[in-house]
Amino acid sequence: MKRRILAGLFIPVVCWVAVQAATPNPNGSAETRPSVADLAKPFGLLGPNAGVYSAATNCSASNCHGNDRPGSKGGEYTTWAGDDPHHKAYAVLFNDVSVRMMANLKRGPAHEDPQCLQCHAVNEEKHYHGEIVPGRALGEGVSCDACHGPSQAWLGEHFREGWKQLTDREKFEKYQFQPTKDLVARSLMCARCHVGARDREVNHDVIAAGHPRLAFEAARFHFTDNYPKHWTERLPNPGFEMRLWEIGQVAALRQVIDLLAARAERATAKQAPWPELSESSCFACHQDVTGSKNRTVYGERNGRAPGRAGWQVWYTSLIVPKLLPAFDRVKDLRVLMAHDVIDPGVAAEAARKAVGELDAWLAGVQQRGYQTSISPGFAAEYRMILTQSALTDDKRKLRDTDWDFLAQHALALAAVAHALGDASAEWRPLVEKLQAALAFPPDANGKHFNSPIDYDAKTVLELFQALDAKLRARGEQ
Amino acid sequence: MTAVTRVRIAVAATGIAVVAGVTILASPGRGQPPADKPANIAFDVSGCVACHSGADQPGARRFKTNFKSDEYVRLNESIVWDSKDPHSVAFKVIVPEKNPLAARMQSVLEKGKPADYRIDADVACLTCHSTDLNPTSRQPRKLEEFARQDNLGVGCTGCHGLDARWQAAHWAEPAAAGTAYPAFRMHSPEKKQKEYGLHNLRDPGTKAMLCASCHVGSPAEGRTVTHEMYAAGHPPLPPFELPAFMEHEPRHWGFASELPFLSSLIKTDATKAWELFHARSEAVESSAARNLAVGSIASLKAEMMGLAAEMGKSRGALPDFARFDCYACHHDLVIPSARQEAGYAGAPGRPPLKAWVAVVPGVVAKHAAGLSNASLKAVAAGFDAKWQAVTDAALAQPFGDSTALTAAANDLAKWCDDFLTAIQSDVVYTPAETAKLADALAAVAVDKQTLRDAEAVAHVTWAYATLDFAGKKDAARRDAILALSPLKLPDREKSKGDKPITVGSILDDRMQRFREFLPDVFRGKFVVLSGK
Repeated sequence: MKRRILAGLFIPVVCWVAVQAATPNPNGSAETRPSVADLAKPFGLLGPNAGVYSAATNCSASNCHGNDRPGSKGGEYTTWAGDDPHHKAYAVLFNDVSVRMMANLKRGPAHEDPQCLQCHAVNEEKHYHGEIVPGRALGEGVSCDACHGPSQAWLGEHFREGWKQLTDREKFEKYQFQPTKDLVARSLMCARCHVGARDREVNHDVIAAGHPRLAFEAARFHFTDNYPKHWTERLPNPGFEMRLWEIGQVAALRQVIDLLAARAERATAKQAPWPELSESSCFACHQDVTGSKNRTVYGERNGRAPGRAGWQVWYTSLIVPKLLPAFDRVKDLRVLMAHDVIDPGVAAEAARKAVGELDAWLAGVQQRGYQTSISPGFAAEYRMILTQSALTDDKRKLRDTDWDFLAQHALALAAVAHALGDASAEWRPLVEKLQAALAFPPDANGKHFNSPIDYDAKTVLELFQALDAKLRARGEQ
Repeated sequence: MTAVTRVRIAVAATGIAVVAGVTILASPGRGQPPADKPANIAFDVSGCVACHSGADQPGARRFKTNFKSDEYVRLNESIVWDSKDPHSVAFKVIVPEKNPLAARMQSVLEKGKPADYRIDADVACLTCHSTDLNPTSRQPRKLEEFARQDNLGVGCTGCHGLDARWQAAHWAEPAAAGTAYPAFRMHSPEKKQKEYGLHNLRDPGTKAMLCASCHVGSPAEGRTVTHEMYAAGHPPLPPFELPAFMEHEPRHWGFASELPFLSSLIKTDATKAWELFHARSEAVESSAARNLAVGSIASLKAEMMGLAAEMGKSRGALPDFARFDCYACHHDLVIPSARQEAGYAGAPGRPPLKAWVAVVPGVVAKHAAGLSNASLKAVAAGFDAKWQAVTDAALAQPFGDSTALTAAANDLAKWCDDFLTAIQSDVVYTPAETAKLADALAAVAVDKQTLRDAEAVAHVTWAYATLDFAGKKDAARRDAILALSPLKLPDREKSKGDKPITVGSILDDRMQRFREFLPDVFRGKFVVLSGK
């Protein structure tokens, strides 16, 4: 199935760092056993100064990961060096968009800007975090160590006898090897750049200067047409994709709230913009208001006052009852962030509490594992919950006409449909229509649209209603 | 006057309301009516209709005959107001059952409010959409303080003053010796205000601040179109440009050149004509230029006072979103992006304030700074730095650095007061100076910075067209220039029928025109048509 929705969002990412984070190394000493507090946190989240990074050329020997067969085992480097957009992350810093962005920001060249390099290259060699160090292999873009962890400690170990006997936690805590097979750790790791983190972010100033917005959804990113994978998943579908979607939602939310905490802390010290506009839903404001789209006829505002943009609608839309835990601290934060004026100190504290709550859930998933067999009944329940979440209780309106809310629901249904494969043939066309209805318009007259300019709330409402009716007809309610 | 109109007006009449209690507050500044509340107020229009429905109507005949009142005023004011002036339907348009736009706004704004919520009973709406019977109040407003009558809207007394004393005295006072009109006519404006409660709307400053309190906003008076209201569907307020609004509104008043009493007084006693009626010969001073200068500064002052008032509500409070340039946020995201290619004044991603409020004042101040009067030069030259301080504070944080912006806005508001005082006495907008002002406006209209903001273009275009063509017989070219403006003011003066044109009825056309504005096309045509 084509997963073209939001294709415009999956584009090379330029990131920045507002302030070097001062958080301690989360894994602590390699010899220390995890404390109780640590157990309430997921492992696998690298902080700054986590270790010594190496160039990808350390991995590219033909008998290691650099054979001449892209896509094969042993061809990981070759695959990455081919069409993986991460490989091109540094090169885009030289293009016209980047040049204009930096001019708008009144800063120096992007390829020398530590804040851009944080996500567009591996900028952490020899612990010189955020500084320009001669000899770094910046030109590799986002290379092996960026995702697999700083390799100096494990490079000489990971092919030896005994490596496979280590647990993911041991590999991470002793060697800073990123446990990418663990979906919690993987999602958190991707989200560091694709959502942002304490030491890297794309804020509204940067977006206004020309950087694409960040809108991460783990399942979609994994199955984007132009992303050649250099690995094979351990889990089969539908279990893999549905669990990835679920864990990815929480991991992205955790990261975005941790970023909010960092932004608010910096704002308290007058070191960051506040309110930070990229915390708000883009298209709540960014829409042409000179013509009446009349969307209020077909949908509500999910409790928001008129004229108020929702806080992180993209990342909070699917924290719905039944599907994921209620996350009370996240709920408190949403209430707080709906206020007109928010004290950054108060926001930071509420955000830290919410991060703790999400960390506990993610850590629990890592410790308990998760069920990977997905029954048809379970998948149907997912679809029902997602569909009903998009509609008001009486099903006569959309619960929210905010595009982020609707697109997240569409993507979630697409993830279920994609995971189920042929088993979703009966209702998948409706999801595809939903995606088409929400897709940005195609390029025209030399313009590339980065907004859902012509999305029609009536059509979207009718498609969700049709999905609901189809489920009801099958007795899935 | 049609029979229907007569009935409408008659129904509107409800007698005299007396509201107890007098609140005296510090003057809000130069140009605004004093805040004294009259002891006795009268707000209905029936008394006005009796005499102001046409010079040949029975009620007016004796004034025309005895006092030649038709040479001092037009005597058809009530007809114009009732049949063409949208102020007369200001209340009616917010009754959900009578206006689809009001129904839509009601459906949005009622969410989360008590079950009996109605927008036509919401004081936040009534402060501008009804005749306010207690406009000087700074207390939480009560429903009974507003007239709330379908056929009244913002009536005569809403602008001229609620005080029953002037309403009686302006026609009933005996003629002074040697004159053939009520003595009231020749009282000083100060006396008319202080002793009778008549607002001095012949003074451009008083008039502009009164208009601006609704057409720009005045949070201190509870008059603000908030972002919430806009989100619910309130039409965007176009930039307030005093002379352009005066020209495009159905005029129930006359310029001095149109009223023989004033024309004559100008010839016989120019000083008195200026002191009592702010009337000068157009050969001495362009009234359009003065209205333009004063009106633009008054709009700026209203906007700055609004900003400061909103931030003063609580510690760290931000201005309402509606204080910022709507279209800085409200645009579809398209690549290539004209905004990104043009660059940003401050940090990208911070909404700037509405640009239009400062563009014409900048021209007016620069012109004044070029005049010979030293004290005027000193005041006028301060504009750029003070506006820069406001914009810097607005961009220091998203939605502004509250402390810095409050200080800068108050400072600029004070500058507006100082400047209004200075140009009252130190500037005469002679035809030559008016021409210079018009040339400067023409240059700013096609300036790269102005062209980025369609509202600013509209404001400058109106200002230029009003000024450069005042008194000239080149209406076709003037109209062609006005037609270039991204916003069009309806020509209610020429409208047919006996009902005013409402904004709701022209909104779609207005916004389509605004949406389709092409700066480059405007620039090309403007240069040709203006010949500048």
